[in-house]
Parts: sequence; structure tokens; C-alpha cells
Amino acid sequence: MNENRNNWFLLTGILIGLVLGVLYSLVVNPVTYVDASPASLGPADQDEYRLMVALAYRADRDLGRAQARMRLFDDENPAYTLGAQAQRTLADGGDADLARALAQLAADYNNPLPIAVVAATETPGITPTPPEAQMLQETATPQVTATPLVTFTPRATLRSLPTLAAPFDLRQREIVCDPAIPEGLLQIEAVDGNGDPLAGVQVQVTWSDGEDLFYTGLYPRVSPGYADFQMEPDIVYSLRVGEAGETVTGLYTSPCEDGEGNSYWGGWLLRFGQQ
Amino acid sequence: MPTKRTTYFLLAIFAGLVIGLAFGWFVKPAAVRRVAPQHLRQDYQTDYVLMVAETYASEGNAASAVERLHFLGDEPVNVYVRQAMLTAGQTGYSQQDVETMNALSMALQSWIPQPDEDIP
Repeated sequence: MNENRNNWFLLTGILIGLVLGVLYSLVVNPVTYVDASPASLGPADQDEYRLMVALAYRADRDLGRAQARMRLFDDENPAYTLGAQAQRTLADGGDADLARALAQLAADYNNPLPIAVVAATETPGITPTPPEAQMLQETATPQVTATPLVTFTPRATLRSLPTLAAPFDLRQREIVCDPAIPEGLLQIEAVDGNGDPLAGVQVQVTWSDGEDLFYTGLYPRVSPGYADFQMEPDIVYSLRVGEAGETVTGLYTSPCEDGEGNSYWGGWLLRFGQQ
Repeated sequence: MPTKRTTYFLLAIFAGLVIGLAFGWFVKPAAVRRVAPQHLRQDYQTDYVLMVAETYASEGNAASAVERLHFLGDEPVNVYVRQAMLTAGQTGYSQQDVETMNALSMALQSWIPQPDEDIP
């Protein structure tokens, strides 16, 4: 008993050392990162960097280079990350044009435009740095050095670009009674003149006391040209796809019945094609 | 001459110190990785400048380019562009990329903020 009490000084010593060590390593002489990769940035800065990737892609239409840049973030699904950022931008009242650039890259990421071809020339790109190669410099410990990694990424050139300005026509309009999808879901699909899904197309939904604006391509896993909107019962909606397209009116939740006679609200499927 | 008890006490402090330093330098930083953009490796900064230059070439908006370049830090923005052009030359960027950055650099030198523009 007396011997146990006498050993408390060891625990006291460890605690004193622990407090001093933590204070020194976190406050007095903390680790400082240098030569970091974009994956090490904070969430807001990562969003800013990703936005820049999307804007550069819109400018140069070089999907290979944009994909190489997106791989720097170690995202499991870059297209999904881009789509989610586009949605956050719109939800936060941000610039719709920026959201559109993000949505465009999200849509093209896994579905490259058939018009893009790999050129024979190669230009430098950036390769992702493996986590173990990222340099972490600690002021109190020796620094690991590394040389910048630059590799060659095939560069896509463009024969022609689809235009989003051409008006869209309604090609198909049908009520959807499917209990497997959310009730009152308004589904929109936009395709270009060749029938290929088209991302980044503006969709405007209006009703008696409100409106909503969004873009196709935010759900690349469904289709690059897909968008949807959740309707409420007893409200009639109008919808326009594109900036100069035909306005579709009289959209509302329709009563449906499943196989057991239970009623639920159905939705709409609208397909638009570019002229 | 220190007693055995004093020696053990000092050893315990040393052990605690080692554990505390290991936590602060190796465990905690790995869990919380929040690096400011100015600590990006130079080739990543160069690529960022190239993206701004490509966007500027498409949009022609110098004010936006200046704002975007301030992402890299508080230095005058042309410092970042010049450094990027230097790195691009050393690491084998294409002539087209260097020219794109050069066009941005020239535009920034002659750019004067307008009263109705957001001055970063």
C-alpha cells in the first residue's frame, strides 16, 4: 500500500512531460507543411482550386488535362464531387455561371465528348503525388526533399463545340407512375442534335409564387443530360429548357395507383432535343 | 548526488515529453491537414497560374484573374505569374502554355482597376 502510494511520482512525471511535449509540438514549434499538394488544402480552398480546374476546362476543353488536375484531390468519385460542389454553389446563391462550369466538367468527366480526340503532341501536366511522397517539413526534424513531378498528359484537341444557345424542343412528355422513384418527381433530359446527352443546360421551373433555376449534368451517374425537380401537390408548374427554348406548361403531380390499389403521386418525364 | 527516486522522476518526465512530442508532430498533423494555398508545391502553383491564364484568355477579364491569383497569397499577383513562367520554362511546359501565361502577365502589367470593379 505504502509502496503503491510512493509510485505516484512516476505518473506525475509522465504527465508533466506529456503536457510540456504537447505544448511544445503544437504551440511553440508546430509542424509546418511546405510543398503540399491540393489534396492537403482546407475544404474551402479545395473548392476554389476545383472551380479553377472547371473554368480552365471550359476555356481549353482539354479533358485529359482536367482529369489529371482532378486526380490531385484523391477524390473517390471526382465527377460526383464536382456535381456536389455545383449544387452547393447554387444552393448558397453563388454565381450560376460558375456552377454551370462545374456541372459541365462533372458531366464530361466520365463521359468524354466524342468530338475530342487525342492529339499527337504532348504537353506537361501534373501527376498526383502519393501521400508518402508529399513533403512534410518539420522545423525540429530533418526535412525530406523531393523534386517536382511533371509528367506528360495527352492533350485533347477539339474539332467543334456543342452550343448551348440553340433552342430546345419538347420531344417527349409522359406521366410517370413508378412507386420506385420519389413522388412528384419531374425528370428532365436534354440531348443535342445527335441525340447525345447534353450537360450544363439551364432549366427554369416557375409556379404561381416562385421559380427555381438549375442545370443538367448534376447527376452524371444517371445521365449527363439529366436533371430533376421535386414538385409539390396542388401546384401547377411551367418549365423551360435552355435560354430560348419552348415553355412547357401544365405540369403537376398526377394521382397514380400501385398494384395493391394504394394511391400515390406520380411525376413527369420530359425529353428535350436541340434543334 | 540524486537519489534513485529523483532519477526515476526525471526519466518519467522524459518519457512523457517524448510521447507528447510524437503526438504533436506526427499524430495530430496527420489527422488535421489544413494547408494554406501559399504552401502548395511550386509546380502546383504554376499549374494554378496556368489555369487562371487559360481562363483569362477565354474571358478577357483581368479583374477576375487578379482575384483568382490572390488565392495563392498576398504577394503582388505578377510575382506569382513570373514565378510560374520561370518554373514552366524549367519543367518543360509547352510554348503555348508559356505564351498563355505571358499574355496574362502582360495584361496584368497594363491593368488598372476600374472604379466599378472589385479590387482584390
